[in-house]
Amino acid sequence: MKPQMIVTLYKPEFIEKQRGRLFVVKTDDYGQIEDISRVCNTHNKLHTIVLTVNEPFSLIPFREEWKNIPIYLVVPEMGSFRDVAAKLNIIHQFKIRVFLNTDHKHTYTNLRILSSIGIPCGIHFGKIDPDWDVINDLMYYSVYGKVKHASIEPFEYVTSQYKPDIYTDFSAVYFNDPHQSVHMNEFGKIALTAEDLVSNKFITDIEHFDSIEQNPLYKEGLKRWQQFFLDNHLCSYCPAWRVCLGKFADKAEVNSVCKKFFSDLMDAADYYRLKQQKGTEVWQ
Amino acid sequence: MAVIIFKPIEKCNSNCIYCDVVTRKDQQAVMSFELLEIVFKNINEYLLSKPDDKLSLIWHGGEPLLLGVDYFKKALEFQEKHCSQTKNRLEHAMQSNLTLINQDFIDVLKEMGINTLGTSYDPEPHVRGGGADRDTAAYNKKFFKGLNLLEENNIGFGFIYVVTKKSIQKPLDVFHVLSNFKLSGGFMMNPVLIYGDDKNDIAITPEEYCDFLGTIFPYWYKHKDRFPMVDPFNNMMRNVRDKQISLGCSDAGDCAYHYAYIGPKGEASQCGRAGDWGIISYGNIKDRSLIDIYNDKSRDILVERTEMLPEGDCKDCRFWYICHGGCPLDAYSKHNEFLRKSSWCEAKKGFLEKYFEPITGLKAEQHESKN
Amino acid sequence: MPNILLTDKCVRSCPYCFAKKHMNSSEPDDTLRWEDFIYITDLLDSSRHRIVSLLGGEPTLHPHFIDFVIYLLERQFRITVFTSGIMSEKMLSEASAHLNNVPPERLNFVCNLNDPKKSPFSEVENIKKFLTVFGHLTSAGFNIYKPDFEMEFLIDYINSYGLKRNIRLGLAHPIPGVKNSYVKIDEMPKMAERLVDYIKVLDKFHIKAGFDCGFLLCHFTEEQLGTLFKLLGPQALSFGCGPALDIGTDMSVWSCFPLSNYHKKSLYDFNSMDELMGYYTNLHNKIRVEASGIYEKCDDCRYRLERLCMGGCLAHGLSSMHDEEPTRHKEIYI
Repeated sequence: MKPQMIVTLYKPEFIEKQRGRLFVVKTDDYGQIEDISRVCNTHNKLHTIVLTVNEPFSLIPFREEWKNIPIYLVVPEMGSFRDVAAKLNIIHQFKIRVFLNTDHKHTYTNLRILSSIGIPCGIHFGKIDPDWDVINDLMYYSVYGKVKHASIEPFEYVTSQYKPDIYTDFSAVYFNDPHQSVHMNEFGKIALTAEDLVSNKFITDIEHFDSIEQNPLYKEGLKRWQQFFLDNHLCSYCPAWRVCLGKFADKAEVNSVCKKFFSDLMDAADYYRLKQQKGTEVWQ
Repeated sequence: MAVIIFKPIEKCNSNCIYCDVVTRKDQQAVMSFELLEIVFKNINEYLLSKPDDKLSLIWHGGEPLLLGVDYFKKALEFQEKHCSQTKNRLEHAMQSNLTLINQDFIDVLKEMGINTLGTSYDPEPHVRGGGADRDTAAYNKKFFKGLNLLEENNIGFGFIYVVTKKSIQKPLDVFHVLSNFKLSGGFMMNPVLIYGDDKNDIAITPEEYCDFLGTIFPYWYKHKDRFPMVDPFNNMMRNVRDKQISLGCSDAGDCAYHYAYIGPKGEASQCGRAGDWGIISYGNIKDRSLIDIYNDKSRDILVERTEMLPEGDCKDCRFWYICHGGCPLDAYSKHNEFLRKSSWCEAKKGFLEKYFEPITGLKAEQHESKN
Repeated sequence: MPNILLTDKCVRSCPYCFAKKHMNSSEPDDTLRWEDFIYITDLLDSSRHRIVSLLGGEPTLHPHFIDFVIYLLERQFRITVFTSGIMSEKMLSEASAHLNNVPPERLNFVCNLNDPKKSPFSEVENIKKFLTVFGHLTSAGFNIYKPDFEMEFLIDYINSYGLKRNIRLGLAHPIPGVKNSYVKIDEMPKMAERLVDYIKVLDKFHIKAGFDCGFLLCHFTEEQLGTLFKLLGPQALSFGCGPALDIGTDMSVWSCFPLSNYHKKSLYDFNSMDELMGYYTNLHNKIRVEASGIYEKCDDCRYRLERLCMGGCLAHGLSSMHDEEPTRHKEIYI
């Protein structure tokens, strides 16, 4: 199955030339949101806008015109709760998911707050090593919470997509799973992931996107996980490999505390599956 | 169903540390086309004589893909020529290390009706690989390439993991890497079986194998929905919990008249291991028909074994019905005779009593099979 | 209606304080974390309890007090905040900005007022500032801890600051192991007489009073009961003592402040509020078997048996058994 989404920065003149594509557009300027939606939906389709700004969520100036535009908002922190609460009526009408950076010390608490008041949210992994115990706590809240609340990524993705006989790659939450999306630069060059794009590791270009499944570099790229087994890496021995795929491999050698979290996450995914099979909601 | 462990070639491009062919055979012989044709004639004759039976031809080795694509095309030619009436009851299977597989091989395997391959996998370094040093990294790279090609062509695979002295220190690590590599399971963890000298110092005792399995079992049992096809656990559950008797050749106690081995020079024996170890001979396919090979009188001792053991070594054993004294070759390996139980019986019994039954709360009991 | 303690810190040191023992044994910096607050809210929500009280110490000392109230309002709870009314200018200003326009059916303050003539000047000034802003959302609370109490100042407060025209009346009881001020048993009739007189006075100002837990039916004469019934109505007359559930800053839970060290559990031990309530109700029932009320005559009292009166504060009964030889149900002594 070939990837459906093309992740790119906002270059209207380039996008306007395309036809029938599904775009994920990255921007750091909320003044562009309406334009992006209009341009992408003319001859193509907009999947999501990933808006990354260096302001707290509470200070984002939401506009009525954003209502039907799917937005992933990546911000450093939540900001003032009371300011967020004052805008809740508006925010609930929007198709927004808020990602908070783990480098901020209150992120995990704030994610819980946002989720409990019905705002879909997610973890944006920052530069500092994650606090796995606290993330585990948050995950427990997300999966086993007593009442219905808004989802928290990537827990939602893993628990809802998990099947025991497939790999569950939550990179998809961040549009970084080449099974589902590829990354394109302003010249139409395509890379498998955001990191590959930055490193100029291109595999093809937009003209050949439709046949990307046959591209040997693409096929090879989908199997990058096998390198962990070839290298006899510690991660390949992890009981939770199938829901992590070595994302924190560079830290795992030092202390594999991530193992506990991802193992618990897999247990949560099993629990979720069981609930689904019984026809009950997870929080019931 | 009749089974032939078919080894037209003993040469291999790997050097697996536990392989009997590597340690015991000169690996030079390759079955000639002339002999190959005789094999298919004999298969046809056998199937005509048994209108209700099927035959499974398991291509083995060494590494069967070293025979080359044309060899298999030739085999298909002979099949077409000599088995036109019986080919619908002839099933091909293959055990391969996958390092040589390419699209041409896959095309011919599909023509042979093969949609699943058996293979083996060893994550530990220096267990398998080319050269005296066993370059595992290079080997596994080719192995994964082969796997990817299988996946692209919708061909499944199951694999065997051989438990050796290198494995028993960290059983759970071994289990995790195996189950991570193939998520839906479809693998077996078998003990290494050494006949004669343990040249590579890899032998394990039945107790060590029992404890290896026992360390893994609680984890597997807790999460068995994640790992549905892991043996011997799955098989044990089927036999004990589900009361469906499903036993491999070494436990079924009825291998006497169903199995045969044919080597590259046409030599016939009881099964793959018997052929590799060079014990038991049923002559040569050049001179004897398959019918005669399957009905060789010396097989009677295997039947006698199944009748004698419940009164001898296996008297009053409640696990008899899922063990039957184990593989006669293992009995021979230890006692130089077949009419004894296998020493690996202690592994199975130990596992059932010490781990399986306490953890599952189930009890192994003789019952009417639900099959 | 469970009580959530936001903090163990307080700004006063009231002589009758029934939270004294609990606060003495807590760390002064203990405040309820956001995560725990959300957990409690979820538990209440899942148990369909939509009314909650915020307590302390002084709940407005919690750094997230305003956010917590806003949060509960967002989640459709009705909130009562038990406060001294003493807070910093900054807190008052912020609280005013965010909470002043909340409808009274959603947010209610109960301000425990002490006689201003016997309170420090700054304390009184602070309270007045608070009542100026939040008087319209506030009911007065008053705790009787001596028989010769005075209530006139309450009328002044209610009239001057537009408070709700009802007073929550509490009766201070002895806390096992703590020296606090309370009305002794033999002083109860005198207290009752004075109280009824005050209620007649309050009635002239169209002010009602409601009884908190611990009052006894037999402290009042038939005539006094008739007056109370006539002036307050049957709903306000309460001679009960049920498990009032308090949830601490560390997620411990107990059935009321005087019993805060008695069968203290963790909130995590319970899956629902009903389960929690059931546990303490059960416990209280077992204790009542051993000590039905504060008087011996409570054992056979028909009003207790008909559940019109519970026989007074449970803490009283337990206090009396505190030092005896352990011959009763083991739960009594733990």
